[in-house]
Amino acid sequence: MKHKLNALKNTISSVLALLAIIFVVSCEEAFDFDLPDTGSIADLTLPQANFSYTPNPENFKIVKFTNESNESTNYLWDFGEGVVCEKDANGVIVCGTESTSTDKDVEFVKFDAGEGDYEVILTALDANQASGTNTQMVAIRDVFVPITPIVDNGDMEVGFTPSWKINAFTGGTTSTVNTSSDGAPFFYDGTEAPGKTKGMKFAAGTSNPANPGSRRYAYQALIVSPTTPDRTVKYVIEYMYAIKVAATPGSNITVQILDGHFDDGADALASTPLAESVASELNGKGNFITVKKEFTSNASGEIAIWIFGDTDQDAYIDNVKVYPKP
Amino acid sequence: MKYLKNIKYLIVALTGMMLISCDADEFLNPLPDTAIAADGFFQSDEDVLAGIYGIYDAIQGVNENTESSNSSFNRGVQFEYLLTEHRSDNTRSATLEGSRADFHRYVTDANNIQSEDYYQSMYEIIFRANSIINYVAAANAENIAKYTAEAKFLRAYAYFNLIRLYGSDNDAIGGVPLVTAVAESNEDELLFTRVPKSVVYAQIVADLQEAIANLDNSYKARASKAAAQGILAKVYLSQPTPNYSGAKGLCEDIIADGSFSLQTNFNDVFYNEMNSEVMFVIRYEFAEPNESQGFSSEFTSFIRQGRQDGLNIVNLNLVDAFNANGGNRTAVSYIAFGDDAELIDSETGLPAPEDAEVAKFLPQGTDFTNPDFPYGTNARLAGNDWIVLRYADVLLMHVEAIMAGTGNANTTDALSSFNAVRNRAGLADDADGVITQDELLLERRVELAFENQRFFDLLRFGVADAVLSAHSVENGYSFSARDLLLPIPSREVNLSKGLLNQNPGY
Repeated sequence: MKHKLNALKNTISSVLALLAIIFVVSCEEAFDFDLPDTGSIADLTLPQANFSYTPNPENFKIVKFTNESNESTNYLWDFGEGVVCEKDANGVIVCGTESTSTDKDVEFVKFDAGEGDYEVILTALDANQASGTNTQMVAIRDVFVPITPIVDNGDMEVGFTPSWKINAFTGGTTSTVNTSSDGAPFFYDGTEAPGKTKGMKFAAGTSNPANPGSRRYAYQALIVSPTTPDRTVKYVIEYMYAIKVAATPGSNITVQILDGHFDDGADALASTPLAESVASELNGKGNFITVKKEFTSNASGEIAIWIFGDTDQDAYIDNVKVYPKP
Repeated sequence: MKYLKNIKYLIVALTGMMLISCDADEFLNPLPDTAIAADGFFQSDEDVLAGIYGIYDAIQGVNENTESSNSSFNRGVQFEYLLTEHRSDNTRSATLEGSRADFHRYVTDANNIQSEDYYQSMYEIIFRANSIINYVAAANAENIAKYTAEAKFLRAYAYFNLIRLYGSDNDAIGGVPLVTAVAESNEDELLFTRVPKSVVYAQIVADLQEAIANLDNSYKARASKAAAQGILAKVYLSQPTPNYSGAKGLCEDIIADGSFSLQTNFNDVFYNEMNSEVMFVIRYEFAEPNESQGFSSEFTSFIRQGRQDGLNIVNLNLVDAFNANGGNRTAVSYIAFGDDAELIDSETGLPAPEDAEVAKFLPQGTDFTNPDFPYGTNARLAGNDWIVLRYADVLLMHVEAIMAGTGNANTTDALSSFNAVRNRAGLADDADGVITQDELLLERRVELAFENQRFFDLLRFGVADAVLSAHSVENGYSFSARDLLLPIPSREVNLSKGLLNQNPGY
């Protein structure tokens, strides 16, 4: 047994020696690693850049860009004339001066020059720095459609509560102006009526500045599209009126567009209106004249119609409309 | 060793068998099982009719509580709320665990099992419908046109769902694969090429027009003329270039026909099945493992009945919409429990439950005064039908068609349809006589809440990006406009050998 083991020992040593030689010889090859690229395959799915864009509902000059690229991780936007903006803590969009971005999506980009076609380039890159680009002409168009407010009971056909009533009146009356069957011989849409329609009447007793406690006012709140730093919105108030010939010259109906909504008639009266139209021609009962007065909406879009008389004979008003300036 | 002696005989025998069986073609060219089955199956009118019922089975889907395996079970319409309501601002999952909780946070990926199941379910409907169209000659002559129209109606229904959830507007990416004939499994080009959205819509329109021409109003749980008209109206409103006058005409045909009417009591819409308001419904049977549905139980959370912790949980934002405009629909639509039911908005003083649950599909036997079985004894095998289309939806689509993208409608017809829905809910007529787009969207939201309409409404009205961006910011989700499309399921992309494009961002 001992002898056998010795023989075995020899064998083992020889084998070990042989192995060591092989190992040393082969070492060069064994540790001769392949170059990094050998055996790897080329990336055949390269980045494809693509994007879509939608205008901001509040401001047509501001555009939101959504990345629709494939096979990519890094992005470079070039907005050309557009500058990148951000929403601050108060929700106000603040614009910088940069016209490039490496964000995936860019929510606010402002094209200050307004309507036009602007070139925007998106480059999409993957981790191997392979890239794809997509260039689009971004069309900026102002498709703003101003609100057309509906004047409630503008044809004066039914009672004036609540349509033409002010809620409260410190030092005055909240009673509505009188209804009348002597309105304009025209329907609200401007077509001729077979006879008189109903209207609103300012009588001597309700239209005397010397007696403010019984003077009556017609009030109606409206909402129009606001004027913003980027857009001026113009409206027209239109109405028809008639004043009895016998009235003292200077008698009139005043139609104002108030800057805001008011609860108390005293505040309305004290406010500075956005626009005022004084109708004073003594054209005679039934001889209605159409008046149009242009005004610019305010920043809140909250306005009100405010009508009152200063006359010693009956004066009539009918078919009051407010619409965007054509 | 003794056995080894015989091994040579065995080898000879096996070799012989191999040689013999190699002769047969089918060993190397096995035909797909489906092809073999279909070829032999359709022999008579009854067989074709059974095949048509099979299409409805594909929509109905298999209850998760009957077959609980997560993979490759056709759930039909039973997961649809995850892909639609959860992705709108209406509802969410109670937990953040599992793939069902990915939809409401906009983190659904291409491996999502529920999305994959829905995609496959819709194609299952399409393949079964194509099969009927192919083998319809076996039916009685007088039924051929009718059966074909019914199959095409169902095919259009499935494509309409697919194109809205998965189809890109970008023709370079494509809509969805359009298969309109029985396809062999090796027809990769046909099965996996996404054709442009407009082409898919043209097929949907053609199929529904054929259904309208050949069907009558005999059924609610099967295809009918009115259902085809109503769905076609929605297709017209949804397609890339809307056909408003076409949609208006179809809605007016349904209204003038007079076969359908609003239920007086909103509760009866859901708990008096097959009522006069229902136009197309997927039926389920209570306590029948193979004919029941699992979603009713998944909508529970406070006293949990389902397999999950609660799905379709009502967002506070939707509660606010109900407070403003719900009328008597609120109590029927959702319910809050425990302390949650006592929560009040500090500014408005109105109810503000944070974890309210859907109440439109409470399982049979629900009795909240019963402490042991508040949802009955078999909530997981619920029988509540799934309403695909009802008359109130048609009335509101009528208003939408008259509005025709202008942002408002004030015609007598529009107001009549709009106010009918409002009055049934116990609300007054539209206050100023002008229906704005926002008012219509809000009305649809509360009328059709939890009926898988909201997500598609937002898309159709062109406000999905704006509304869901705001919703996502409010709740800390990660919505981007890319999330308006679901990913094409990875399994499909892999099977397509590179033919099937993925949607951007996935």
